[in-house]
This record gives sequence, C-alpha cells and structure tokens, in this order.
Amino acid sequence: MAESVQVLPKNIQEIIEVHEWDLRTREGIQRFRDLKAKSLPSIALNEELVFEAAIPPQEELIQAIKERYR
Amino acid sequence: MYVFKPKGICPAEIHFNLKDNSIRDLRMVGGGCRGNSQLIARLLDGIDVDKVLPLLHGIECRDDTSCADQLAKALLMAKNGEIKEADPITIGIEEAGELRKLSVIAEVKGDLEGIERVHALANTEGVQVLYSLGNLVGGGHGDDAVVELAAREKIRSVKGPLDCMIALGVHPPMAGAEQKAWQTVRRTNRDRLLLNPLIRTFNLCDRHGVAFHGGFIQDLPGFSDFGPYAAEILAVCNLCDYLRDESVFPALEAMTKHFTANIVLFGQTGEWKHVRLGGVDLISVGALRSRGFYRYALIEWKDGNLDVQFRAAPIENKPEGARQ
Repeated sequence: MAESVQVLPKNIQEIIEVHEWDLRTREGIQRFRDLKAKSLPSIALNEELVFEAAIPPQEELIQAIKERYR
Repeated sequence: MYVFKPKGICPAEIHFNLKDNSIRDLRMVGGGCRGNSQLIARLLDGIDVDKVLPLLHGIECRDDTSCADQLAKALLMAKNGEIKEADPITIGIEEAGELRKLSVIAEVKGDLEGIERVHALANTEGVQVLYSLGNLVGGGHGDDAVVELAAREKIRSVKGPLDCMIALGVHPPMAGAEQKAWQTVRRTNRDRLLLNPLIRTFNLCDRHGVAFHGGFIQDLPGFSDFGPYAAEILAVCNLCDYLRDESVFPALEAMTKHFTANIVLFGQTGEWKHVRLGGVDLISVGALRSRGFYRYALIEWKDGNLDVQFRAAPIENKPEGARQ
C-alpha cells in the first residue's frame, strides 16, 4: 500500500501527508475500526474511507486526492 | 523486561532490560531500520545507562525525535521508576505427544459439580486433555475444590482475570450480596492459580493451537503487540470483537497470515462460536454453566479434518442458580 503512495508524482506528494497503520498493533486496529473499514488494504483520505480491499490505479487515487484538495 | 511505547518513530515498541544500571536485551520492535537497530542494540549491550543518556538525548530524525531520543526517554523513565518492569507474559507449552481429541471449558467459577460432570463426560468420549480457558474460580464456596480437582486431574488451565485477582488476594468489583458471600481461596490454591500461564499452546496432530481467556492480557504491563501469539490475541479481541463483528472478517482473514497458530481458542464472552477463516479455526468457548446445561467444546482431528462440536448436558435435579 505504501508503495502505491510513494510512487505518486511529486506535485501530489507535496500536498498530502501519509500515515500508514499496522493492523498488528492495537493502535492500528483502533484506527481501522474508527474508519469503519472492513477489508485490507484500505485508504482513507481526510478521515473518509475511500478505497477498500484493493489498491486503486494511480489515476484514480490522484483524482480522489485532487477532489479533496480545494 | 521493560516495554516502552515510543512516539513519532518507526518502531512501535522498545524492549529492554536493566541490570545493575546497564542496558541489556535492547530491541526496537514493529518497524524501523532493522540493521541500525541491531547495531544500536549490540553497541549498547552492557553499557551503563548514565554514560549513554547524554549521547542519545536530543538526536532528531523526524518530528523532532528519533529512535535514539525515544530510547533515552525510555531509559530515563525506567531509571526513575516511571515505567514498570513487567513480568513476561507466561506461555504454557504442551508436552510432546500424540494429541487427537481435546475438550474445552471456560468460566467454571468454582462450579465443582459442573467441572466434575464435564470431566467425566469428556473421559467417556475418549478426550485426552481438558482445557479450561480462564476464571476457574469465582469467589464462591467451590473454588478450593475446583482448583484441587484441576491440579489432580491435570486440567490445562489458563488464567482469567478472576483467577489473577483471587490468586493475588484482590477482591474483584462486585455487588454487596456477593461481597458478603466472598470466600478466600487457600494459599496453596492461590499459588496454583498464580502458576497457571496466561496462554497455552498445544499440537493436535499437525495443527498448532493456542488458548487464552481474552483481552485482559493486553492490559498487563508485559504484553507486547509483537510478542508470541499477540497477532492472534489482537485479531480476536480487538479487530473482530471476539468473532461478533462479522463485517470485518475479510480483514481478519487477511491477518491470519501473521498467526503462528491455526487453532485459536478463547473465552471471555460466554458465547459459543466456530469460524474457519484463512485455514485457521477460531473457536469462542462459552461458560460452563448456562441456561440449564453444562456446556463444553469437543475438538477432534478426524479423517484429516478438524471436527468441532459444542456439547450440552442437562443440569440434573438442581434448578438454575442453585450453585454450591
């Protein structure tokens, strides 16, 4: 999951802050439950669960980020 | 061992021992640069804390801190008694031997008649080992006799929260009437309870199992998210709420690849449930006594498959609630 974010273009990287949560930790599980996620991997943008159970194509991820960056 | 939860760095935990003010067994756990953390551990092994504190303190990597800086915080807190040295989480490992059929109970709570009955039933069914998943005692009259029976019959028990409190002579929170009826367990039996591990492992033919009571283990100071069988405990207790939240089963299935065990037995909820996900059998074991029946689980390796049955035997001649 982190890799798909790391390969985003520089202009996108500059407008986002990335946090990765590990489901092997209590903190990670709490975050997963707070976001009401069900599957792995999951991506939330601005506290909203946007992608679940699959890594989205890069264009789709960029589009979703841009929609929230206004 | 000290377990410190750092902030702002890649590793989720820092583990270490202090012996005569010297650092021992340092480990950065759950992330970070493996090579560097091994190097730090080797360089600091056996070194006096006071010598290294000025060197570690204030190093920045990101967010105004670093592994070294967080280690300095951990060492200082340990030195000042602000974090407690924790007992390791005890694990009982089943002796080698061909195990094909076992039985499991939970929440006996001093019910001598119930445990005797299930033990006898299990014997007639050819069960080799009976496991008790915590709260063998409950502060009632039957506690001493139940602990003695468990010792005599070699019932494999894990500690539940009530066992821990009673073993340490602490009264659990309870209503006034229960408070009056509270019975103190004899010292020998308190010691027996104390010696029971928190986690037990077993091998049922070629399947590896783990048994524990529930989430209270996480609150003990020696618990680490990355300790043995922690993945199983966290997934059961926190992720899927003891199998009650089926909506997260896709995530639970994905997490089974981090499990060491492929049979996971737990108590706590009083509910009976068996789910097979990702090749792992997750089995919730309810209370010994409920709704007019004594209940137990029967688990057998049969024809290359794990057969799990929940059994119930009617409580004879005594109305519900007429416990000794």
